[in-house]
Amino acid sequence: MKGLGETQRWLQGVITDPDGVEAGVARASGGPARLSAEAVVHGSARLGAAERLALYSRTYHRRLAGCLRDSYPGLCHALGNELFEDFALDYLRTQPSRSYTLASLGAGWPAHLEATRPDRELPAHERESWPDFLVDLACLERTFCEVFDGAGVEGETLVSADDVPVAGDLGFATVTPVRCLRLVPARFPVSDYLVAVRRGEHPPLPAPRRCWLAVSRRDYVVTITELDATAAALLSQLTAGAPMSAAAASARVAPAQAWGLVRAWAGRGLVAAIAAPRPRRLIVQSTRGAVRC
Amino acid sequence: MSPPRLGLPNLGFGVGLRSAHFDHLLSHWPPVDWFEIISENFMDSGGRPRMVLDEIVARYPVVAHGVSMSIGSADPLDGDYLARLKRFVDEIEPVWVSDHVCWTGVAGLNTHELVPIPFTEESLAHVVERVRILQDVLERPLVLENPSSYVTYVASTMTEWEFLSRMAEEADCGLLLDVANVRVSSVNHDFDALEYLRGLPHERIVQMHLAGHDDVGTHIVDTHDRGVCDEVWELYRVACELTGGVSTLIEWDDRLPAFAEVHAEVLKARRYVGGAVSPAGT
Repeated sequence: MKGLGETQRWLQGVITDPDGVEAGVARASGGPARLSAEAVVHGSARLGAAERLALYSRTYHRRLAGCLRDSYPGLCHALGNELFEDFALDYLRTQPSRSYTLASLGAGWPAHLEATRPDRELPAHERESWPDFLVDLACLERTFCEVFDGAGVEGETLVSADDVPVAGDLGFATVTPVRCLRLVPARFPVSDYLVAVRRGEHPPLPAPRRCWLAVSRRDYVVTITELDATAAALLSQLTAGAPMSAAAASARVAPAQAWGLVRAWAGRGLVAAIAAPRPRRLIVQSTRGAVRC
Repeated sequence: MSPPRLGLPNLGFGVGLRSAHFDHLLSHWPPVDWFEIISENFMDSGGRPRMVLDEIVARYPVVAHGVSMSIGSADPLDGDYLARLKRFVDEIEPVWVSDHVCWTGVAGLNTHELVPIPFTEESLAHVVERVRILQDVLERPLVLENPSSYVTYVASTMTEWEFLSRMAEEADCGLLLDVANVRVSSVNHDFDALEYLRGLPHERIVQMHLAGHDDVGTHIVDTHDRGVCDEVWELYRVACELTGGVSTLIEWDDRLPAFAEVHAEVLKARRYVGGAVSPAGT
């Protein structure tokens, strides 16, 4: 074998092969003049060349599956260790890491689970519900990781519940949620399930229930607020930048009720600013020291 | 000619910063000489890990130890990674930046394994060129560690210590001597660990690593899951004689005990060097 790049591509193919080193050597070498492990790396009486490569192979698969287990404890609980590892290795086989950071390793897993669900060829009404649960749980866990380590609003003064107007003539005001807020739709109450698993409990698989989860962070702790359909529609509109009146209309909620929801969210640290477009006045803004004018 | 340790200070006896110890550190601020961080665990963080690091940086010397530079890879250097690392080290100003003499992936993939490189003239020229580029980009000297290994290449034409020596001299970089890795590799590849230690350019050794490992009979696994064994302490004693003593850190990742136990383990190193902390370049 000649050249650093050729050697590395061969060795990487061998140690990442999901079927093991022997299959990896055959696949990575290819062609009529197959390379043996001994042609590339030394063996010894105590440990042969293929066995040495197998050490890297085992560590590669075990380490990355373990990394996914750390990021997806709920999914691991739901599947059990053995099945979880099968799912993880399938994901790693089709989407091996291309990033310098392990934090990105699980980013594509929820979409992969959805794309590889066993009933994907069936019409929606004929599908089973358990893949929905796994996909939604994975989405929540991935969002949890992103919010935990993403940009937050610690050190900033947020809008408090007392700052939120009661109602009235503020239809053109815009309500800006905190930058770390993510809205996750779910077909199961996956938040309750995940919280229980993270507490060390062993919750049963829940019955289906449509819900919307506002995932955010306060004082470096991830918070999850379950919303109903109306509240989720309002928050989604506000997050997209719609004025309060338009957002409330879209969500089919009366202004007083809409402001009540915003007040409740402000109480949970989800609102960064409330403002009116020029020439209307600024009402409340999230800064290091709130601005009121 | 570069000054000893590239002019970098002997920081004393440090501990690897691990998230399981965050609460203890934030509430006790123990008297530790310095901390080593895994750069990739913090460089993109906007959350609690970065908050904790900022608090640590304000109180202790910190060294940034990377695992993703892939300095021996045949792939081009990752420009995005380097830009982020540069921004990160400019922000936290570590006493130095280190990584490993290894490759972690090729063809755009990352195995996240620290795989050794063949010790050939081709590899040497490749690594030296990249070290120079990295030092220019980071505007800092680079300190590179010998990884533990389970394979050696048929293509190699020189020993690991010859490779490291020539790399350090030709690229004008520092060495992070992982004494535990020398022990692991010497058993796995049947070479003389003392010959390895004696063959290095001792004035370029900026830092040493200590760690625990698991002897499984056929080979030794670099586990970082226990205290330091007698054989490694003996190699450390020799390394201290050869270098005059340099910044020393214990790596402990799996089965991580309480912070006080990890700290106590590295402080055992004092018996070999007397606990003296010298200023830069001395």
